[in-house]
Amino acid sequence: MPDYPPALQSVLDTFDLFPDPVDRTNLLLSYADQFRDVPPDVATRPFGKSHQVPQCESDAYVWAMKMPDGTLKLHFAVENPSGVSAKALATILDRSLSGLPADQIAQVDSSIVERIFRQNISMGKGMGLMSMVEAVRALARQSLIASR
Amino acid sequence: MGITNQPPDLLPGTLDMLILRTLGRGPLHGYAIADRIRLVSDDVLVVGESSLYPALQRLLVNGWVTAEWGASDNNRRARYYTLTAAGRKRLTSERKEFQRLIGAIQQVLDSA
Repeated sequence: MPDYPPALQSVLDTFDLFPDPVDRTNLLLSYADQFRDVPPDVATRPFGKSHQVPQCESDAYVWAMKMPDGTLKLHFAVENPSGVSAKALATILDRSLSGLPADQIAQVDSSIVERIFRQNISMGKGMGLMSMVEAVRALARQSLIASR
Repeated sequence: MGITNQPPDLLPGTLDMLILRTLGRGPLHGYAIADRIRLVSDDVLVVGESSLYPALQRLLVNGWVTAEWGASDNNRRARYYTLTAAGRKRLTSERKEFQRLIGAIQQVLDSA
């Protein structure tokens, strides 16, 4: 099993505690409720296509801002008002990866989507959510290259 | 079913505060939390599963409690919830706010 950053591992452990699909749905809704849109000092609508997550049905966007201490802060926008899964994943990624250095974020693989959502999503939606993780990794890799 | 004998829209967040307070005495599983709230309130506050578990999950997501598997008194597998340092801090601020609210309501009642 991959080694995840502690905050992300804690989220995955929490989901593992709830094998029942109804419990997991409620947990995801709780995360989605905590979703915060990208602040206007980072990006305003219309968002640039370069920040759009490919294949995401919820029309999600992602940004990674380099902080003075060298870590990254992730921001998301989810334009589909009913994009609950995307909002939940965005909240999880922000809370568990923001504040980490780019090299650690770049190592997180998209298999976390399966561990978090399991049977709660269709294959199409799953691809979109995995694409969100990949978009975050790509930004982390870009940040690493830029800092060399 | 939520908390009975109390209008649910009167004091939002009350259930979360009661759960945090109940966990202040040590880790408990969900059923035991509801049971303790009922006992301590002399059967006035009866928390149903449909409100207890979403509340516990809200608290988990906010980092105010943690959960892990353990064995209940009758040796069945149960999720035990533990108050975190952040949860304790949250409880303190919620209690202050609750006391302020109750004081304000009491003032209105006394003046009427």
